Amino acid sequence: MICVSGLKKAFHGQVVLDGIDLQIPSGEVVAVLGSSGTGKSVLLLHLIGLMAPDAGQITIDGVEMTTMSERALLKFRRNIGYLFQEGALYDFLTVAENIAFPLKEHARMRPAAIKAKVDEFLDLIDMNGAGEKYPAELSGGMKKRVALARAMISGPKVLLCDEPTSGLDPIRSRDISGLIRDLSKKLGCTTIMTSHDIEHSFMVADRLVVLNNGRIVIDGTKEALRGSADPFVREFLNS
Amino acid sequence: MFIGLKNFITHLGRIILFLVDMLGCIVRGRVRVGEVFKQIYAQGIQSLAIVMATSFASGAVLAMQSRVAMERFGAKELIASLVALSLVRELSPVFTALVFSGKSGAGMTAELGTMSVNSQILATRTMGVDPMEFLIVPRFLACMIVLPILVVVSEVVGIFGGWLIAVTEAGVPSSYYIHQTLDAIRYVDFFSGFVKVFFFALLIGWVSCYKGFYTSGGSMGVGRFTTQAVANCYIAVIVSNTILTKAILTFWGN
Repeated sequence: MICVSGLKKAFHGQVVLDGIDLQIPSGEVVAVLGSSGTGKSVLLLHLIGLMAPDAGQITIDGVEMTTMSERALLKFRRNIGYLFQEGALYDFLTVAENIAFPLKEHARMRPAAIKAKVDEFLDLIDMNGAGEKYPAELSGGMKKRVALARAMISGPKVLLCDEPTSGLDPIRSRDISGLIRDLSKKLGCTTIMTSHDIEHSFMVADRLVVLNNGRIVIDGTKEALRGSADPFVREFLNS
Repeated sequence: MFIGLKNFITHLGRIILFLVDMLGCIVRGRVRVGEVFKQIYAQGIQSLAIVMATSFASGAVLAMQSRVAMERFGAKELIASLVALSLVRELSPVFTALVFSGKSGAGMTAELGTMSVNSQILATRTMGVDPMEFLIVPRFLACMIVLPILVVVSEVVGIFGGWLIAVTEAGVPSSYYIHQTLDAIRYVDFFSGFVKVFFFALLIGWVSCYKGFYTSGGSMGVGRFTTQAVANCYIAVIVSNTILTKAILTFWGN
């Protein structure tokens, strides 16, 4: 269960998050929507403890994150998978080494077991045979799939995805959206993804949250979103 | 004015904290030996050829110039001593540090800077790994190990360059040149040069890693921060060399 209460953040006097309250039960897939600069990515950075709020609290499974030291956060982040917009794969490691990285770091597993798990994830992301390639040899969609595998391989309780479909063509966007949903449901993790992409968010998420001017405008199912009379939501849906 | 001073103090504090954090990691034993060896290999390979080339040229030129000067005073037999002492006490440590800054130091900054602008350093933290331990400490320690080794290589190659010129052009007998070289270099000469090398390595590793770690501004930022790192390393090496030389001569003697 993720609980965000009264989360506030401002940069140089400009308010980005203005009292966000959000409860996400375990196993749910939530899409945070909104136009650029509405604080979606800032919210994710708070959820993984890379940014400290000006006010408010974040608890994940009852553990308060905002008061943790950096060392404690490093340990706590092992329960969280984070998919970066650009993948953020290590250039100097192969695809297989990138995917294996969290396991090598934290799991007490034999190399053979790690290899088997990496092969399993390469199969899940439909990239068998690409394990020895370097990120520079991959397309944008492939990089995102590898990054998703890396984020998920250690079985995190929470998966955070920052604009997973940005920069991808419609087919690749659908692929990655489907993959996020399938892996989240298969591994039973709570997933929060930010996006501008309404169509794919409807496809992936159980619940949608729309942000505008640092506040939640609507929080509900896609039906609730479609039925909303809020002018911003209407404009956003019709854009 | 006040904002400028505040920014300067904040920046200075961040630079010092970076060093403290880095040394703290090493003292607490959070060192990845495998990564250090990878970096030693990378930095050594990057700089070895260029260090050898510049050292050979320095030794050779030093011998050519010494020959002119020494022949005027009828002291041609002292070429070997002059070349050896100049290289061991001063030229090899400083030249090698400068070459290393421009090659491996710039490489470190550019590599870390690219990782920084591509969110790879942030990704390291999201995976519960301390980037200081995984990315910075191995590069810094490799720098502390590789530079002294390169300086020894530089001294040997430089002396060989001097020997070649002295023997082929000045007609100094080979065995005499070698004997004079070994005779001229005392422990104090070697170690006074070597002490400086450790300071240079610390400064180059610190500046290069810091600049790379805090690179921002995309690909242009990588270029800008890398150039700044090299310029700052050059200044740090040259200024600290002056201070260290004076301190060594004062407290250690001639």
